[in-house]
Amino acid sequence: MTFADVLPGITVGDRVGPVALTVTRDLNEQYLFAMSDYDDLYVGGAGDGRRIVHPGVLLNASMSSLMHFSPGPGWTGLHSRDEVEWHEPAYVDEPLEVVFEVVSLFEKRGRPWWIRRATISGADSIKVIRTIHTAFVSNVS
Amino acid sequence: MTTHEVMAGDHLIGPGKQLSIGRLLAFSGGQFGLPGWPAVSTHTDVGAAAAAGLRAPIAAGTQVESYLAALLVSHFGLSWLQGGRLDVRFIKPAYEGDTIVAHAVVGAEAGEAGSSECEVWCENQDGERVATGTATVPRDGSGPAGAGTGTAG
Repeated sequence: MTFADVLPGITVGDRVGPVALTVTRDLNEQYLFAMSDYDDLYVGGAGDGRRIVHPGVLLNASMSSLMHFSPGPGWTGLHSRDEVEWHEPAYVDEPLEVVFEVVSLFEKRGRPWWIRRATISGADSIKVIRTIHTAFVSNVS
Repeated sequence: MTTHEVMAGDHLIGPGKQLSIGRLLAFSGGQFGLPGWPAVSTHTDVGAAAAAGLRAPIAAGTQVESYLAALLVSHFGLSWLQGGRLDVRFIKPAYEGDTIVAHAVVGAEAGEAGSSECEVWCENQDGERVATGTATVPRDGSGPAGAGTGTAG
């Protein structure tokens, strides 16, 4: 097993983005259903009436569920740790950008591990969140 | 959104959230209505989960983590989204059908000025922790890791 088998074509420093992301009202409401969470901030909006994007949308978007970096066939990634910094709320229908980067590839206890960083920014490049995902890769039998 | 003051030592407990297949699909299946929905993965598909050695689809780590973020938003409001930090380790799978409850125990103001560190975790219906970690909550509205105009704290 080598990293080339498990994470083909992926090397430290690989970067994708900025990828455009706009969380529409429909997409936000899909996550409100997924989370069973209808807090006023997401439904009625903040003080200025603008609806806040549910954190779940941003956490999922920051994961490469957008799958720019994926394990090779026969392998699956298992999420181990997440470090998240929240900087500013994101608003429904606000244009956002996501940048993904591969920070580290290493082996621990015989398993391949990788660390990816995602940064989501809003208008004027104001940072919304930054996440660091740590995962290991496991064989799918 | 809760607006009462949160004090050191408070144990915040979120509502139980059942991981129905519909909610797993809504979280991890991609956007409704787009071609290719739902994305097939261990989070959305029984066969993919079985192929990975799992007895049922599992929630994405980000879904479990989102319960923690939502709990903190519900108590700290916009303050949490303007400087909050979360460090979570995923220690057990959360399976389809499980009921997950998010917890946070608020620590005394410590470390960075104007912030409190909380112990956070999610547990399933059997009281088993599926994720555990820490949250740093801004309390003074003075900037990142202490930012915000929130309604609580």
